[in-house]
Amino acid sequence: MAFMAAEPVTLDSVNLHDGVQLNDATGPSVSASGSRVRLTYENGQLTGEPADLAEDYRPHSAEEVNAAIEALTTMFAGQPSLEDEYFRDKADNRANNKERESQW
Amino acid sequence: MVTYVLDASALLRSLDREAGCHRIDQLLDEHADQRAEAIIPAVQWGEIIGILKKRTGTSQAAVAQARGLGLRIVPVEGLRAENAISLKAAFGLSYMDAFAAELASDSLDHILVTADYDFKPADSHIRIEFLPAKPRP
Repeated sequence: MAFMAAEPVTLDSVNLHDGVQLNDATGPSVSASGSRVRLTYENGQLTGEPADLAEDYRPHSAEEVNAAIEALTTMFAGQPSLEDEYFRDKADNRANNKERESQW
Repeated sequence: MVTYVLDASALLRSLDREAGCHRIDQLLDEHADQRAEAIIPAVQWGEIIGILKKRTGTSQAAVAQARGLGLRIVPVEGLRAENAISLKAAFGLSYMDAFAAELASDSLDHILVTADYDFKPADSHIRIEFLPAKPRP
């Protein structure tokens, strides 16, 4: 999996954006103030930044939805199929699971 | 009101602009206009975000736009997880797919919309709308 950390990720190893402090008691997805943290794993680094849940997951108007579809389809136009990649990942996971099961 | 349960394959089919994409556009429009609801299990949502991130690397633009589709993301709690594992066993679904089937089993007004024919064994138990198969290359 592309986003699986090669090494175990600890609280100390999470790079935080300004103003975010992790909460040792609850884990890396919650800040010290109790707000949720968005975790991103890129280039071998897990980073955390404040998540604006109310804004990110609010209902959207038809115009906004259409604009999002347009933006996404433009972004991936001419590229290999995303759906095919999904099914390849799914098949790989299934094969890996079967192999692990057979090793038990 | 009809509730459409989308899985990862359906939404990615839409982004690929391949067979059935206009049906997904229609469902999302109905959702935005509150004529229907479009929902997705959180585990399937995560799978979509993973595919987009694999493709776009460090850019957050695709993920932000995906959130802009306005789907209601349904969290997994204990009962859903227990039901999902039962459906997995009953119909030979993958664990992730079982959460979409479980959400679709909430009501007769729930329809699972998918491009994934792995759900076929479950169509005796839940309502499923399969997107048309893509033409073979």
